[in-house]
Amino acid sequence: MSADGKRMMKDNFLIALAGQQNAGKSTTYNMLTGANQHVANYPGVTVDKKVGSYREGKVRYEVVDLPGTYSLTSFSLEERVSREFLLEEKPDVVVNVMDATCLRRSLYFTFQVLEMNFPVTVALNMMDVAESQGISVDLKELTARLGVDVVATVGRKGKGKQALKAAIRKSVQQESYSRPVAIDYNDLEVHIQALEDMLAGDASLGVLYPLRWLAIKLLENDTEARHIVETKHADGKMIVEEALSRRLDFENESDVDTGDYIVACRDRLAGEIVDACVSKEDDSKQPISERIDRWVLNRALAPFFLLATVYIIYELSIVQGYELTKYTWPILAKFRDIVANILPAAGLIEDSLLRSMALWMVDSANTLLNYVPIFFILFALIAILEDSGYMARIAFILDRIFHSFGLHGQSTLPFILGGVFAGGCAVPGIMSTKGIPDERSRLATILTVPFMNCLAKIPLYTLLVNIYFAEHKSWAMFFISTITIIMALIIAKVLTSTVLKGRETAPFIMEMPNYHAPTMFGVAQRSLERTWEYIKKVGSIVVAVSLCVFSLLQFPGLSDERMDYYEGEMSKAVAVFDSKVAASPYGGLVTGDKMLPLLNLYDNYKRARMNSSGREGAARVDSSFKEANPDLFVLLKPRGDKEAKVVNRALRKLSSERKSLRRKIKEEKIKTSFFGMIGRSLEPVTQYAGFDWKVNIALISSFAARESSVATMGVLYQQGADDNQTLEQRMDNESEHNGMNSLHALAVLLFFALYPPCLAATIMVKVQTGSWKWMLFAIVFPTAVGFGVASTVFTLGNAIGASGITMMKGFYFVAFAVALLIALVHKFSSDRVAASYVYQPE
Amino acid sequence: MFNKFDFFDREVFSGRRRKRGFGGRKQGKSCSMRGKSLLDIPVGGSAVIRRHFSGGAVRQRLLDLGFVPGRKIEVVRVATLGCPLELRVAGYCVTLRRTEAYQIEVEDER
Repeated sequence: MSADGKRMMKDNFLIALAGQQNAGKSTTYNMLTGANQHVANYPGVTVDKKVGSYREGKVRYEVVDLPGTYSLTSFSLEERVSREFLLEEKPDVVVNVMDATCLRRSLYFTFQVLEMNFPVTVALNMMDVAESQGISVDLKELTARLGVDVVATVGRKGKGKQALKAAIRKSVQQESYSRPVAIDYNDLEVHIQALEDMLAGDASLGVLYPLRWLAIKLLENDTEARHIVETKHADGKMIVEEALSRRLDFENESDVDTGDYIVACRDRLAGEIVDACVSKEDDSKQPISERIDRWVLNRALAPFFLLATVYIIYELSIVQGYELTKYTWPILAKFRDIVANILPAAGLIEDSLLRSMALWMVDSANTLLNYVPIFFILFALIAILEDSGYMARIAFILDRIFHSFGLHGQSTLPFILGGVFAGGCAVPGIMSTKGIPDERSRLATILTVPFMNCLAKIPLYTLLVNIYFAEHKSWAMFFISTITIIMALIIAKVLTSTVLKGRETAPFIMEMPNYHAPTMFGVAQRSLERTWEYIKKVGSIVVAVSLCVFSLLQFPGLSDERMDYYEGEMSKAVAVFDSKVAASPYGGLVTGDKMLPLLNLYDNYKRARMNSSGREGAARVDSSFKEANPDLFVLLKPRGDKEAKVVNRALRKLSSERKSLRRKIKEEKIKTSFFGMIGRSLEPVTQYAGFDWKVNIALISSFAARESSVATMGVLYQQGADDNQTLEQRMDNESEHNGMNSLHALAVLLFFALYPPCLAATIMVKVQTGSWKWMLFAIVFPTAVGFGVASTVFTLGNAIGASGITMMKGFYFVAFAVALLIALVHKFSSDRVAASYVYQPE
Repeated sequence: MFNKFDFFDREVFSGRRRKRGFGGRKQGKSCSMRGKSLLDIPVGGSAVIRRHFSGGAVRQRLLDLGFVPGRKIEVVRVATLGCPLELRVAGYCVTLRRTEAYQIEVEDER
């Protein structure tokens, strides 16, 4: 069969979407594939691989969105991934998305793809922006000059979709190509030709790779190209040597770097094409972005705009988002009720394993789902910041500070998402480190984002502050919200100058994008996507882990004697109940087998009444219970019926007796559980930080999900819960007689702040670093640091007899001084380096 | 494929990486031979790029972004703390740290 015949038969084409960053590749991708897409990783590396497809009749076009790169060299991971994909997969068409507003630079990329001998279709994107800047592009001329199809598109508005699809169709069905533009390398041509001839010596290589491209890459001294030639060509080593010597010859002859020369040749051609195709209205007025930046990036004003932005994000997402959870929580509570009703009914003093396990899992999932509204708002705001172009400016403003601590200007976004001041989540924070080009900073950011104050840490903070630092509340909250960022910076510095020292770094070279108005669709899509990712990743993992925690708390369970004891207590209570109601006419309805269902009904009713809001809600609960249980309702709510009142009172007594017994069982169970054993066995070590076994358990269980710390404490400190005391009062009471004071609290606070990321975040560390070892490190290292800090502060405080608040101030002062010192040392050393290069004219 | 982040297998990458240095012009060229660097251009001023002293990825990225010898370059502004500089080259803005900026040699416009 001829090659043409094959083409006609084929009904599945591979299209690679390539282009520079910020050229609107993603919008073009969305425009082509619509909803039909999924994200994966390229094998072995953590670079996103977006794959989607669309159909035209019987023909299926599979679109792969390559990472955005400025060129196709082998210096960065993204570039290597893109290039490898093109070389290995050999797509049928490469759709090159170009930014019409900076055509000259975009052409630089196009040339490289053309040099690799791929059929190219150009999507000239952002035509609307170009027009608004008074730039007009002569498409016909550009098509003629490049020798490939050029389609004008406006990706954000979906314009040019059909034309682009038509061009792709034409391109894959075309039998022969018009010869695309070729770059003339003038003086280098001799060398290129010579190398190409040598490479042609091995016939198999020419099938796999375009030879002219290989020859040019050899002259550019590209590592991967050298590797290809050395391994795949019989005389590989010799050719590489030859290329090197030719390279040096050329440099000696012309006194220009070969790489520079090649770039200059491409640039000259790009310049010629731009001169011929682009006409710009000569307007002297400043572009709008520049006019905005004159204020927003003003040296003196920039920090204020930045603070205002962070404050607005905080106010809208955390404060207002929290308001929203008031509406969403009842939905989650209802869901729990539904699950509770499906499950086997509650036992008298002990529930079946299935019931308690399922409810436990629902509860853990609910606590996390409760944050969804907050995250949605947060992600939407972040998407707006990113789309508008302000995010890049934040990086610009803060780079110097972050850089002194070994981080990168682009670490700002992860820190904001992680919750700089209060509220946030490390999971999206770690997710968003993807964009940081500097690997060392990227890892340091991934490892320090979990120190931020995520939403789930707040309950424990407020709890401890309310009990132990009530008089210095505002100071304590200020301490917590700023000490974490200070510690994160110090630890980032420690990491980057020790374990991460050998990692690659990249300079801060960032294009400052123009301001764009973000689109509703884009923002909604991105925030939904990220929220869904949160629900999915966190949901599955946390549910799985909560199961482990549950088993650790549940087993080995109580001994038979203890259970017998509690059962005896319960039967006593039941006997009392029976004797009380025996005389009543309702006696037959409530004794024997009927007692337990009634008791459960009573508890359900109480809970439903508690969850209902307002008089109407209560009435609705009443009527629904009445409808379901016409005979028994009078016992739940005796109105004027004296006999029923007696039963009701006995029922209430029985219910509270049962609750207190259940609580005692639970407490004893935890104490004797595997978890309890772990907590106790850790006491000898944790005593240096002042933690007793209860705190140990709470802290360990908070690894599964931070919220559980307070929940676990609630179970552990339940003396007095029957008297309707709050957890604060209960802990306060208990701590009085076991000697816990504000110093203990400070140690717990510090440990909690520096403690390893929760499980979901640790998994995210694994996903983002692609290594289990890093994940392990992310667990072990902060534990060591946190415990070290907590014990030092506690032991020192004890030794000098200082109170919690004094130690808090002292610690803050020391940490702040260390951070300042690091920043100053960095400043002096970098100034000294710069000073050694000062230009002195004669 | 190698794993980029596996710091325990350091030699997989960095070993190969380090050799890449001679992609650009010889590094560490004596300072006294240098002329004006970008840092010597006042904010708001402009100059023409003469050559790069950086190597490897930095040099490549700069060339990709249009920092080609012979191009006019303008210092738009510096950040609050004086470190990243915002430069305009070929009609768009790029930010650089001082450590990269002083490796770009410039000459006055003619």
